Amino acid sequence: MRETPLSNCEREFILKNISQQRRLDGRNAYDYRDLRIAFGVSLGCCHVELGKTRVLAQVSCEVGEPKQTRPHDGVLYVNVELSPMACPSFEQGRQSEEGIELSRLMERCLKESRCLDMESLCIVSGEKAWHVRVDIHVLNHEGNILDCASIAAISALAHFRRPDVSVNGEEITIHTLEERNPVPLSLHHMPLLVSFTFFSQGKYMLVDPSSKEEKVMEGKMVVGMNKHRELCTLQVTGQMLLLKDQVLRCSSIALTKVTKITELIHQALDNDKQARSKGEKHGFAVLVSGDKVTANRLPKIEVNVEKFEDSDEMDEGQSCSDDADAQNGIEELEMQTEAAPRESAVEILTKGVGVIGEGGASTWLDIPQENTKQQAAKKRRYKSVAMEEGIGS
Amino acid sequence: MAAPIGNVVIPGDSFSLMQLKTPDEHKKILLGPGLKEEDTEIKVLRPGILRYRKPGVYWVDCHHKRYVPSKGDSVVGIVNQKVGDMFRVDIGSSEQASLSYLSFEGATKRNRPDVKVGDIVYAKLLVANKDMEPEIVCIDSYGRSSGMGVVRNGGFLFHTSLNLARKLLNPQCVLLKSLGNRFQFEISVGVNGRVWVKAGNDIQTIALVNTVIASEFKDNDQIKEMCKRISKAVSRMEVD
Amino acid sequence: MAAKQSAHLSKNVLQMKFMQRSVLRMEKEQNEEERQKIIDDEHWALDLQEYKTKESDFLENQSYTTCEELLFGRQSYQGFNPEIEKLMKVHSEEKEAQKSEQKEKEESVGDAEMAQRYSSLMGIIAKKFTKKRQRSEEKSNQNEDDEPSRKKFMKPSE
Repeated sequence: MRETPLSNCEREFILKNISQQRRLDGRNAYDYRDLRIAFGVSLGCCHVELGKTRVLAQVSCEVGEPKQTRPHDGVLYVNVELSPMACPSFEQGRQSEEGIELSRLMERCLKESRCLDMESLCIVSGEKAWHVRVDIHVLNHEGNILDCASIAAISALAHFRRPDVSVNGEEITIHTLEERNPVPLSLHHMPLLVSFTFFSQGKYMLVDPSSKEEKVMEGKMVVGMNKHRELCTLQVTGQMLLLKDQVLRCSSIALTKVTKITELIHQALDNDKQARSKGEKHGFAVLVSGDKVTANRLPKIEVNVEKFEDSDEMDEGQSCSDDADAQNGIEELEMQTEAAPRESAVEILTKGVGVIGEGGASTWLDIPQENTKQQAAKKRRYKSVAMEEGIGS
Repeated sequence: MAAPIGNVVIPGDSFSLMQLKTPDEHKKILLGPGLKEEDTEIKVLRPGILRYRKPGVYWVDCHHKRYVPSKGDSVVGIVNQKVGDMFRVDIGSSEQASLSYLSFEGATKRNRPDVKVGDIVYAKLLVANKDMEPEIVCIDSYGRSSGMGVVRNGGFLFHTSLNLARKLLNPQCVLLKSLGNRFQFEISVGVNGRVWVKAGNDIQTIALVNTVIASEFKDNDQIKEMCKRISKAVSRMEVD
Repeated sequence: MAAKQSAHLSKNVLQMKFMQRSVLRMEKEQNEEERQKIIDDEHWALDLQEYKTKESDFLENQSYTTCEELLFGRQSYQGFNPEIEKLMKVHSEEKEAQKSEQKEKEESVGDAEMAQRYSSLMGIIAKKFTKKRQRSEEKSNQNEDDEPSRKKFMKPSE
């Protein structure tokens, strides 16, 4: 399917607002969208959300022959898949120019930066080595796939564990996960890609472009960097000329972004590790949100509210059935813990639902309702605050 | 057993005529999107919620992002190409729609309408057939524009899910009315999930865009609350 | 036979003037043959009854616009675009008119119903104006009237 064309009014509006230092989603020029990193139940599976852009990376490994030119090294494959699911203009099977550029940049970022210790992947020199494969699937394209993919890929590599191998003379044993704990790959550093887009002859610069901003941009510069201030890749596309200090400024912005994101990745890895060791819930379940599209078309179920404390949140939260929203994101969890004690004063006794008994210690219908209501109220508050901040910038 | 109005139906479900409420002897039952008559039965084609409206209208309400043209829909399209005496217009369907030069108000063979590539048109679907290219027009059957035609003078176009577009146009939705009480603006909503907004200044336009997008999962009370907050935030920003 | 003959004659011979008549005759014969063939072909067709399309109880309409009674998509508020606002007014008036019409239809009494109602009412109202005595007289008259009619009815059964 062909790509949706960009209308003149969109182009004009976006460019005009960029020249006035304003972005549609309320961000500042150097702001990233909300970043969320989640790991799957299987090792080496990482899902990254950057705003609405979503990328899933999965690392896998197998034993094979090393390359003849490098008999002491393992092999790293990087594969980027752009499916029509991400954006209808991506075609299945055929690599578009955009796709090729993307996978080349990812390869350069991961291979040529030598972040992965290849020699440790060798089992028997010249005969057996680990082939590590990173599959990057773009699930949704809302701009800046590149940064999102690089975060996903490197987090997945850091999360991955390969089976342990022992060599005893001629005998090679690959231990199952039950026999021996799998070993992590040895990552020297975490190279990340940060893309900068330029508008009106390089006069204006934006970080983390949305898909519409990508459509109107004049040029793009991708900086690959790790938190030790080591430049791994640099690529400039588009028809524009850049000044020297602009490139320098980009690299210094990239550094701050990379340090922040690396910190986030480590935090996410830590969280996952702790959850696993404690046997708590881990995986993608946190990503599921229970938004309801039918909000204004479902008939309201009137609940007879006998007695409740009059707080702002409760006034609007009367329709309980509509508001069931699962908690969404880390910030929100924080919100919940913060505000919990205040909310607990609220008491709802439903008299209308006769089956459960008359108010009091009714257990199974009232309490969840109350919870969802609180969550919904909190979510609403959070959202609107975010929105205000969004526009306010 | 009556048809499960308001409940989830799944493709392959079927009802007989007896299960539906017949309005009158004379009136026919209208089957909307997602339902199909097959051998005196009604088959469900889409997963969603079965809806009923008086007198005798049934349809399946489901979440869409891709637009499938159907006759009589009002859509917002982007002119993509000029071919001979036709415009090729992107309306979000699998194929581009064609729009004749002559289907504008007051257009004749000599007096061609002023439409450029990249312009936005508000149009109605005249032909919508699964085997044919969709055709849109910017005039009604009397030759008047009646609100259709090229949408000009700035503003901003954004894409939403089809549900949100339908929600905005639903008479029960309060969003546009409560925004209308607080802002001076113009909006064009196409059922193909494209919405064009223009307000007094760019800050307001951006605020409106974000409000509309944020309203997708909110009910009427929440929407009212949000509108209140937004108008406060905007007025604060305009002062700055 | 003619075909066989023509197979012997060359094209050049047939083009000659004196052969024109026989060429015409041959053509005619050939046409005849073809027509015969078509008729023969027709005999192969099944002699079916005319297919009757059963009238369906349903109308299909794949548009959400009609199903959900969506509003017109272009709207303007607080006089931002007076043209559109005028249109909105027209649309809302139309809708209001439609609604009131429908309501009227539901609430009002149809001609047929009215006539029926009055025909039954007539007797009752008429009674109101007759005095009691008259009414009783009427009653007796009615009874008198009834009896012979009954007799009349009984007659044929004997």
